[in-house]
Amino acid sequence: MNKRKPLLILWTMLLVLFTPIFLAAEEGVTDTEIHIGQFGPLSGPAKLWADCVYGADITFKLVNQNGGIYGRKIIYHPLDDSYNPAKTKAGVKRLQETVGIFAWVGGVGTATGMSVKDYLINRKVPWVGPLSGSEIWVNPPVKTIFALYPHYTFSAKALCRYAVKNLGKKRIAIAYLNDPFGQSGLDGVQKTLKEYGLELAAAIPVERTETNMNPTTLELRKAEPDTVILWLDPFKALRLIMLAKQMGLAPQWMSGSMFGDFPQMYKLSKGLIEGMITDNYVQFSDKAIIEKYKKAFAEFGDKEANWGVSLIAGIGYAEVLVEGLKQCGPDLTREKFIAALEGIQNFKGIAAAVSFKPFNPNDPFCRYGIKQVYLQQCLPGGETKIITDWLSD
Amino acid sequence: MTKNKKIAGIFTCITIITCLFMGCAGTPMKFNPDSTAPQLIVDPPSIRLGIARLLNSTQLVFQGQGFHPGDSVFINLVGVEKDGETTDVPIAEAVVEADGRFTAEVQKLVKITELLRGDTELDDQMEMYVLISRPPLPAGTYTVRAESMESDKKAECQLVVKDPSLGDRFKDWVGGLLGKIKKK
Repeated sequence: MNKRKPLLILWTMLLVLFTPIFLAAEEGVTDTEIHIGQFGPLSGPAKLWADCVYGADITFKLVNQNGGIYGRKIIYHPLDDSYNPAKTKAGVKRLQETVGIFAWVGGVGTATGMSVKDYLINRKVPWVGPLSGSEIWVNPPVKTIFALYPHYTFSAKALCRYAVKNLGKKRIAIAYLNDPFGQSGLDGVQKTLKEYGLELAAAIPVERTETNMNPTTLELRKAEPDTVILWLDPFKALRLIMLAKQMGLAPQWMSGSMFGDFPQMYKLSKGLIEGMITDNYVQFSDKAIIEKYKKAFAEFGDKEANWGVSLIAGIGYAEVLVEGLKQCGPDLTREKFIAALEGIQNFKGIAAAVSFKPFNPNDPFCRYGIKQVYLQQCLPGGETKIITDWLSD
Repeated sequence: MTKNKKIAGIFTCITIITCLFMGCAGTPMKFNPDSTAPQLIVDPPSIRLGIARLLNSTQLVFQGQGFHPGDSVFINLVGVEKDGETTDVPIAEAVVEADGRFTAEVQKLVKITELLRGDTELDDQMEMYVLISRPPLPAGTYTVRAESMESDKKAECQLVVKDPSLGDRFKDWVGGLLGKIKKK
């Protein structure tokens, strides 16, 4: 017994000495660093949206230039997944299990995001602003996922209301992808038309694998719409607009914020989207904030990056993450970070105002940060004209 | 020349032409029924990198078993030479079903970017075409590995990648004439 006593004392001392260190250690955080990840298509056909990834980099570099957060620099790990969910999975797992990521920000796409959603939830890794307006991020709500992208149903409602109320349109048609993304748009349009006692002139589903847009365009022409809302991927939508033009169909075209980067989309479509109305949630009106980031873009911007809506969205999502980190204080843990994000009320950065609520498994809105959009119209040369104020559901 | 010789000559020609234009299905793989360990099979076990063939008529599907229900997996092409480096290339993914099995198909976009190493562009009519600007995945026998997201379970099989046949090259030439395939 006496022989064992010194050993017991030694063990107790070691435990007392090292326990606080073990308790304080949080994955992805050291005394000098916070590791943040984001995936997106930096290469491949979807690289149009790579600017979201570059945007976050600008926010983090600006934070680091100003001393970081409580002395910790943000170490950003952008992951090129080429919009290939298999690459998203492999890359996220590698970064999470080798580097150790404290939290993820953005992440372009529904399919890519879905491929890692359960993995990140199971590890209780916070995720701020998956870059997709699908309902899956908030319904049911998840404690660790904070959605920012305006819900597609809400966007479609805002567009449809504007068509009826402001433009006096009566024959509204929709061509939509026959998947959860497209269904969200259809849902919004149907609900809005019901409010006004109107019926859809046509609702045409398009399968994801469909490459021939001729039948859809012919069906649309038959319906003689004065407005067509497109809830399709941009490539299918552009082909449809081109065919419609050739067939003499010239309705008011509308679409969601996936078309919202007018300068880029105008260039891609060779001017075909002129006159199109979309929703958006990136604030152009606050000139001081825009100027701050334009200056940072000139200083830190990736040579592949373009100043535009996608880049600004990337900046804005990272701003919300940074705000959460700041609210945590010096003792950074995931638990504190989640609580800090829940406390964010009417945060105004470069994008629309952001608010969250304490977690309630029965309230999807507790994890739905941006509940406002505005509408904009594409002018000649890809110029943007803002045509409404902020709109709420 | 006798009638029999003529028939034999025609038959030989048809056989040669068929061989030139035919695909390379290979023997279908099957799971080992006696094993409960993770397994991976691919159908077809051999593919050709003809652009039109790969994109329009080759369904490349991986199937696995012996994984945890509810887990998810990604499929890596192991040890690929790319830009002077050897790397693993993820080409498909799936969620594991309640019976521990999964089915993962290689999507068209992945075939274009990772196997053909091409890109997609829009023409003046807003129609998409395939742009090939560098050599495709080198022909050879590749190890393909299914890796679990939630555990260390892994399974492997082999995939044979062959250069395009004469028939494939002809189809791609036609695709070029139609503006569906462009080479830089």
